[in-house]
Amino acid sequence: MLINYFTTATRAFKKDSQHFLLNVFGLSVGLAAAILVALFTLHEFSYDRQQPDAERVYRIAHDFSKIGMGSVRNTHYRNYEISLKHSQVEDAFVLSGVGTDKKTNVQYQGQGYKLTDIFGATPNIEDFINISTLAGDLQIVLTTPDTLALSESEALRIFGKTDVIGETLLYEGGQHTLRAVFTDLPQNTHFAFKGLAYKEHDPANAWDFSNAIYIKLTAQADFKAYEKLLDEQAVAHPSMGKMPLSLVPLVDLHFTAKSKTEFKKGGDKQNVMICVGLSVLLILIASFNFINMTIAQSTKRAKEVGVRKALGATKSQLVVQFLSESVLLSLLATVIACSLVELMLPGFNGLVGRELTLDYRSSFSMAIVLMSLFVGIFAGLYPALFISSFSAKRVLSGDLQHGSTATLVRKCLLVLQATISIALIITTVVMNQQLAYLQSIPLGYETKQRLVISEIPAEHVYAKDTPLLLDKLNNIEGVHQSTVLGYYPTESPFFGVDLIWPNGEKSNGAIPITGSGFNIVEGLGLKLLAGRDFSAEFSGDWFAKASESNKGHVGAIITQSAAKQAGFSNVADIIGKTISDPNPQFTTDLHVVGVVADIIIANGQTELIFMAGYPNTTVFNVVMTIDVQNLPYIQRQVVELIGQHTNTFEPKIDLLVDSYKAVYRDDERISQIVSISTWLAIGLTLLGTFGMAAFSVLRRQKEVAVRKVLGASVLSIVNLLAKEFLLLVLLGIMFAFPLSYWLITDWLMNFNHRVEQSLWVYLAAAGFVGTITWLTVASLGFKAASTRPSLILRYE
Amino acid sequence: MITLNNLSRIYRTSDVETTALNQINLTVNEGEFIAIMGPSGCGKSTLLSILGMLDSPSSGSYQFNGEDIADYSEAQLAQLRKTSIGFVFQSFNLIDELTVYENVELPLQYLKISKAARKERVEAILKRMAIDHRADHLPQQLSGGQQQRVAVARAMVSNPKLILADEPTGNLDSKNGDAVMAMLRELNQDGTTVIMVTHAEKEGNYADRLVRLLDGQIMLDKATQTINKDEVA
Repeated sequence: MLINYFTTATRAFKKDSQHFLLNVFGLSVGLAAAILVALFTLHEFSYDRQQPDAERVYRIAHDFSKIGMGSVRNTHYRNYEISLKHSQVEDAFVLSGVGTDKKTNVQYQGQGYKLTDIFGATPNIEDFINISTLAGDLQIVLTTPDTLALSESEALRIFGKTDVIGETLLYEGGQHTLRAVFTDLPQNTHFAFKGLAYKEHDPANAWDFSNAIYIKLTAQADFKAYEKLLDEQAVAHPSMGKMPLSLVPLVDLHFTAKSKTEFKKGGDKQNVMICVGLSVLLILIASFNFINMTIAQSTKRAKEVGVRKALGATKSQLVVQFLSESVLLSLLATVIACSLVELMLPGFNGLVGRELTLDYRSSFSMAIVLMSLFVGIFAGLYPALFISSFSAKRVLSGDLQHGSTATLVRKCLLVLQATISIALIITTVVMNQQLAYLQSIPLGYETKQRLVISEIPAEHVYAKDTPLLLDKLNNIEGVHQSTVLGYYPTESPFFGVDLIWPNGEKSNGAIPITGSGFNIVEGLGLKLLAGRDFSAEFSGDWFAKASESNKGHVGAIITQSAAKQAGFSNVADIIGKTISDPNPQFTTDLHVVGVVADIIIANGQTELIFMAGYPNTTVFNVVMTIDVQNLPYIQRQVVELIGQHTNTFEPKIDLLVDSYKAVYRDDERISQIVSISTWLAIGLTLLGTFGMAAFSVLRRQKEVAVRKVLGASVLSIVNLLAKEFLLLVLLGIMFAFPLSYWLITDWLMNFNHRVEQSLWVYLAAAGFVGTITWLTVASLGFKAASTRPSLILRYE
Repeated sequence: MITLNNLSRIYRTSDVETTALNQINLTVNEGEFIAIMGPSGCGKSTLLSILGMLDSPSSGSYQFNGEDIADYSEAQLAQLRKTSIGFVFQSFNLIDELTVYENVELPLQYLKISKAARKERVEAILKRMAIDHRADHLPQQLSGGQQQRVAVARAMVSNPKLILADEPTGNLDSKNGDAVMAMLRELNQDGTTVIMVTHAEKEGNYADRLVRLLDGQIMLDKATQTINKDEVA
């Protein structure tokens, strides 16, 4: 019997190939989108689940939101030793930054390399990370100074081979010996080290905060209770005081850990959910098309239903027959969808920033088949029930030519499709407006014509008397000037102190501070509101220790918000006043020399204090003002000079404009995904409208002919046919407007600075969908209205 | 075989009530050949649909083989239909997507008969209807007379006790019409009960018994010979 169904189905498809193709194409697009998103979603939720006992492992996080950092992984090494003493803890593991000092700038056979993402780790790494050693022994590396383990690809990059045990890399004043090579970490982990080394911790060092500590709790331990205990006993930060501690489950890190100190950029659950939502919408639209067109076409199968019933088929047999037809169609669409996925995967990977592959041998292909069956049944069920309940008597006595064809259901589906299309258009436009707005917000600093060289050791660029390197950089043709900054401009300083304002009041939590070179106002393009820039002409500007050893003074330029917090609404009044950093170990007096307009640093924080020559970090960023047309030449010169003078190799050099764009890359990506889905949704909806309109025109061709005989014009007939559809669009508009307003308002809440939603976007979206609907229907209606009426009426 | 008692069928739309059949009493014995005649809209087709269990009466009872089918479920009716009744329609109602062979095979598939047995029976019946050379053609490729022969073959293939024919010659020229009538007559002589709806008096004469309907009621129910006499008189 199935063969009989199959024969009937294929012949019916052949006979009505236009609708068949529209259906298959629509479903393929919907399914392809769903497969891509499913791949992406599975990947996003697989992060770190491969690590040993992943569900019992937590990472320490501290709340650094006081200095605009949110929750960060950086914690003191002593917290590791504290946790090991607790009975709730089975084991703990530390991953520590080794710094960006000279040991990471190495030479092999005379060629300089920068080792990036090198971390120190406790030797129990294999109990926490699913890592496999290709050669050598990780244990030796993690317990012996001056040894190194590299990832396979890093070994290939430097040595051109993976058989590198015993090779040495020279650095200024020593050498690393390669003792292990490990396979590259997979993509679905938040760990991102390319090399491992021994790291010694000095328990007396109060500043040892560059550690990530992972704690494996025993199976019985209560994580919330333990989190509280550890928070009470945790080590305080020497300048920022006690930072609230929390424990973050390892498997959640990919979605929740967002600070700039993360090993790599994580994912965004909201974006994954948006993708899932969009793919569901696309499948729905494609299924609605299927339902609509199948029902519209159902009269063509009515005779078959009647005959089969007369021959003794039960209703359920007929339902099964038509369901198997839709499943067949959906399986066919799936095959096409899989090839579409193969075609689109590279582009999609670029869009989501992942390296996804479709593996047909995995259980995922089973899931695809199940999804395909589900869609076939979901889309086919209503039409199957509808068709199989045709009355055999009426069909066979020729009664059911153009009878009821579930018009209400089909109209509802079209309204829903119009709603989705309009809402998506509005969303796309507002998202793009928001992103354009973000790019245009006055940041308080200049991004144009600025080139930033990252992380140059302080001694080469950061001194009161202009260091030689800085001088040489300034002399490159096309470089106007350069200044030095203790943080990367699009990030946040990652350093803050509790201050006492000139009026004796304490600051509202730690205030972000950064060291900076002379001419910072000019170099960063800040807007000076009062006072002056840092200058070598004022010898008091640069940080200096006073004669008593634990006291220093420094010139400071503060932002307007900081001045306001200090109680100076007229910012000029704070010039010449002194803010103090009351740290008992080392007190610093900050003499305010200038106030600048607010700078937007990460998380929307606007308080910031620049301190000339203040040593808040060991590596500094050089911000150069350049002629962009000389960029390639300048870059070559910079790399050469830096290599010569600092033994720093492969320096990171970026245009500030690009770095700023990168901050919003995720938002840009999601906006692109929404745009693409919008076009697909509109396309599919039009496909559905086209199919429906074709049917409606056919059904009304006699009416059209009679009207023409009575003297109606072509345009009036086209409008008559289109009116039915435009009314549905109008209904869609009524649903779409509140829906999109609500969704977009919710999304915009993610941003500190957001655009206003404007009415014209809503009206334009509605107008657009209305117009293309009219055009679609008109293209068919025009043909119908132009046919000579006698041709139609003759057949009556 | 069939007994209808005070059977009525009323159609209701929002504001109109149409009585298609009104208090019909009819008994059909096995082996009869009955012609139901009457003008358009008199209820012939409705009566045939009810007899074929494609429609159900509004009131009254319908006994088939001595059993009242009023309480039968849809599945039971389908079961009874496929084992006992064959249909022949005016517009043939062959499934366009299936070949001649597949169309005739269809009732046997619903009866879950094995493939080999189906092949044997379909080939035999096609041969008997002299249409076996067209087995692999689609219905549109056949003439009207050939299509109706296929339809009769399809009605016959499951060896039903009853054949219901709705104006079987309505779409045929007289030569092909005569052939189809001769076929029905032949079936009847082999023991199959035939109930046929028709317009044409000429075809009524093929039947043993004539039932005339007017406005949903039986006006006349007599053996054909008697009618002829009446009409002569």
